[in-house]
Amino acid sequence: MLNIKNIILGLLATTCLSAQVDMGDVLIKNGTLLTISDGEKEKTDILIKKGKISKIGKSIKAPEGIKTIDANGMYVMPGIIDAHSHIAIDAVNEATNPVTAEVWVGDALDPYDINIYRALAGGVTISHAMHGSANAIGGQCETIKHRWGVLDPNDLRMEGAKKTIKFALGENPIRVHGEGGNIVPNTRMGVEQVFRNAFEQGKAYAAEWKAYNNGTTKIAPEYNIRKEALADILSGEIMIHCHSYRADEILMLMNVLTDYGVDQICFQHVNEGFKVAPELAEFGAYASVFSDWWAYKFEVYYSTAYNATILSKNGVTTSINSDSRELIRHLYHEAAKTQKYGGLSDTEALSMITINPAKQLGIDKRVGSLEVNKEGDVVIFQNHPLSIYAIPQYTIVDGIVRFDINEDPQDMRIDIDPEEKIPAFQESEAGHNHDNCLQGVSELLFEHKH
Amino acid sequence: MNLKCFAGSIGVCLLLATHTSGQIDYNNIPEVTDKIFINDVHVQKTPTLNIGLSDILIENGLIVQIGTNMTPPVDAKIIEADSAYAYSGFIDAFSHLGIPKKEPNGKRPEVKFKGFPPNEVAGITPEKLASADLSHSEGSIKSHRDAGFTIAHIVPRGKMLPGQGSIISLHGSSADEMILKDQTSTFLQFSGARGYYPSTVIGVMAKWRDLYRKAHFHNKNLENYKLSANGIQRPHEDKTLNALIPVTNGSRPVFMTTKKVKDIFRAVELQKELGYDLVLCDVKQIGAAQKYLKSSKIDILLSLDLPKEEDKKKSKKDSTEVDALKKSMMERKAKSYNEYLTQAANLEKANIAFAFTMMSGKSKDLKSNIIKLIEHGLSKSAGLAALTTNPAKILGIDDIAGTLEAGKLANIILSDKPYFEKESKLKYVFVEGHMTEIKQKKKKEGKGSLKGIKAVLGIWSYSVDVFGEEQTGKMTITQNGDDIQIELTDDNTPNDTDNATGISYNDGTLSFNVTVDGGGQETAVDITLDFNAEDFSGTATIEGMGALNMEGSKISSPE
Repeated sequence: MLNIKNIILGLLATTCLSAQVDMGDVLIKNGTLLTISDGEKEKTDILIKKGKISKIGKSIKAPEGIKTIDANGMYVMPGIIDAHSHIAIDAVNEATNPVTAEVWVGDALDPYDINIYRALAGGVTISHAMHGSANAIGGQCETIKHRWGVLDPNDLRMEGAKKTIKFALGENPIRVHGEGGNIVPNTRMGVEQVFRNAFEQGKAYAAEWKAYNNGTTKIAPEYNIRKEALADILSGEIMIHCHSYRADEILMLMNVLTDYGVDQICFQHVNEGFKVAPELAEFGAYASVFSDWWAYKFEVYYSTAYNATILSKNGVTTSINSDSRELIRHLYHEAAKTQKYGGLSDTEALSMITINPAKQLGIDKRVGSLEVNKEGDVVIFQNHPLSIYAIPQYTIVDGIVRFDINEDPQDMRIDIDPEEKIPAFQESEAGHNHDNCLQGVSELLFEHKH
Repeated sequence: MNLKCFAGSIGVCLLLATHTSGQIDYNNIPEVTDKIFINDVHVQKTPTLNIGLSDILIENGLIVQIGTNMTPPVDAKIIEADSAYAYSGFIDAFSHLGIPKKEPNGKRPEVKFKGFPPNEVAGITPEKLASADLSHSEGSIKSHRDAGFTIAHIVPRGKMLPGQGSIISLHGSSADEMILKDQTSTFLQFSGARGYYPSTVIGVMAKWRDLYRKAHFHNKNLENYKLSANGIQRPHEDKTLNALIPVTNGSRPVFMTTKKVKDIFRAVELQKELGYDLVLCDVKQIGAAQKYLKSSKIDILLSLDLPKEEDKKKSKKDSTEVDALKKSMMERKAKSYNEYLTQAANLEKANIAFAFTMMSGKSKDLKSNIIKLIEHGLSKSAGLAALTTNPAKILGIDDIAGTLEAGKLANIILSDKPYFEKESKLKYVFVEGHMTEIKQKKKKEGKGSLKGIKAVLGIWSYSVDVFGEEQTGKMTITQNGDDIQIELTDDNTPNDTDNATGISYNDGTLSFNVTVDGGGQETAVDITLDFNAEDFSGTATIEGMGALNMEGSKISSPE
């Protein structure tokens, strides 16, 4: 739908300067590099200049004035990437309509969310801030870099990352809209119909504008931001990330996409992915899973901790995600579980939290492995990251140390309320005991309860 | 008391007018002459220029002449100003002044599909006019005028797009008479429709883009059709989109509520993308967004609802056993408070013209709050400009208001001392030549009287009507020496106690305040109760929201 946007932008003649984000220089000496793309390299240096990896090798001479980290005896790996998270956004679900393709969580970024810093303390440099799963077609998501300390929400954005949108199958959209509002979808069949109706609308809309733009029709079609986004999904400009559990529904969505010529999708959670791994591989679908979390609702009882391994061994690009502000702090443990359940190699296990999620977010040319010219997102561990004793020491984003375990005061908040009660913060949520994809929906479902 | 429930239910509310009864309507007394001569007054012509002792002649609501040793016309009413200080009347650039709060009807409208509600339910009514809701007899107009305001830019109440603003004069015996300029702004907020689309900030932002672009293409189609209708499909009229066309073609600014720094970033993103003129309103926190305020297309209205300062006595009492973390948090909080109060001074330093607004906050705190800002580095002239010349410019009325100059509206305030002196008092406010003498209220006694309070000691049950939903709890009133304590608990959360402050008791009427947590935000509640032997009734008034009926009965007396 670029045509329409160009018309509007041209008419309004405004310029949006893209944010100038700080880039740093740092030399990391003598670490054991877990490159992901090129094996392990012992006693090797890595030099980051202006936010990019400029050299990997032995005995790199430190340019003058550059910050140097002695990583002797430590492990250096690419920054961890979480393909499914809801941190750093002020709104998760616009749960009022089964289709809200036009909303965008990138509008509500919160650079002051302390969970960004906590994720950094777990070595995570990039997360995929997603819309929730209340709607069959939810809102658009935003891939963010964990540049803790920036004050402008725009500085969190990973400019140039693939545009993505959240879809949802199964119980959540049925519960919210069918049971909650007595509209379609009230069944799993209804969810499919919501997709097909929406795609039909997007297709017709694109055709109307095409006719107007090439002069066939004289009156401009009615602009519609929702159909605009739906058309962008069909054209491949926006990639689907779909909340999913059951194998039958996963197959259903792949069939729908085939009918509409959409060939890119990443299934999220995908607990029954192991049942349809060959089909996923054949479609070219990605999978982003929990290591071993299930049975939190009926549709996730049929699950296995071998899911990631089975998917991976069948040729599906698979990542392990958090969907949780707590779990995001130890994704390296989650990745290690694939060695207990499935016996994956170190590189295979670490790929699940580095290069594979990077592929799923369309940023694998820029991050996800330690290679010259890639972005300087690095985490340095004491002990091997797949060891139960692993502790992140430094987390570096764009060559800037954003987490340093030696300089980690108790109060790292940025935005202080001048009227806050002290103590200001209490952890309200002890564990990972509910589905974070439904944040903000309870008000809709249970309007008069408190 | 569980104010989360109050805050949760509020949305649509509220309140019974509180100011209208029992007061003489000075507006209806015919004035003997329309000429007024103010003799011997220090004239602050502009925020930076004081021309010293002069006289001012007013006629037909306008300033006719300002000069020294002028002779008053024989038919003029002469005001002996006794070397008082004259300033241009203040302008509130953003307010709901004169717009009554809507009565809550308790019922939710019947909507078939929450994802596609009627515009009225979605809060999308850009065609509505503030002037249509204006009531000249609203009590808030008088209290605003008594604080020195003579003009206000008012916007309708509502959610995402409540309607269009008007600029009003704070005098007049009808709404029409008060209107200086109508349809001057489009009012936009990030407020969702609570349960209907758009319900969240992301929904509102997407919907705004949608409406804006729809209006843009709608206008284009209408214009093409006007040029040549023959053979062209007729574009349909649409009152919502029609009302937005002036925004899309740059002839009407968008006034947007942006209290916190993240709101500003979001509002600026939308502005950059769509291109209209933007006024950031009711701003309490600017933070890192200041860099965007240099744009010629963006103006800012600072809220005078300042954060409350930490009670130093109280924190001292607590500080005997604070750990290092708590101490550093206290320091950061104090620093943050300081940053909030330095914002106005920082804008001045950066040469960014801003105006003050009283949208939130109380007009009686106007001067004391500006003095706080002056203590944090703001110059007096910038403080004055933010009440006069800057709002006049932002609102596009600087040809008729903002300074004391011949030809402008006779909007003048007279203060017995220079205005920003702590002890100064306003004596007169002139709105378009109409004079109001300000009667200084007697100061309330610092500590509330507690005489006779023994009669109400004990444990009481209470219930509060929160817009049709009843909340119940217990109120315990105890005396310990001279000290009276009132504790409120909510039956849903009996372990959560709120303690009353500012307790006073007079002849069966008990009043006090509690501060409660209304969904993460501290909210002040003023409670006034009339007691009989075994029961009481009264109101709980929530700051900025309204009064709820409260009643109860005795459970037990003290032993």
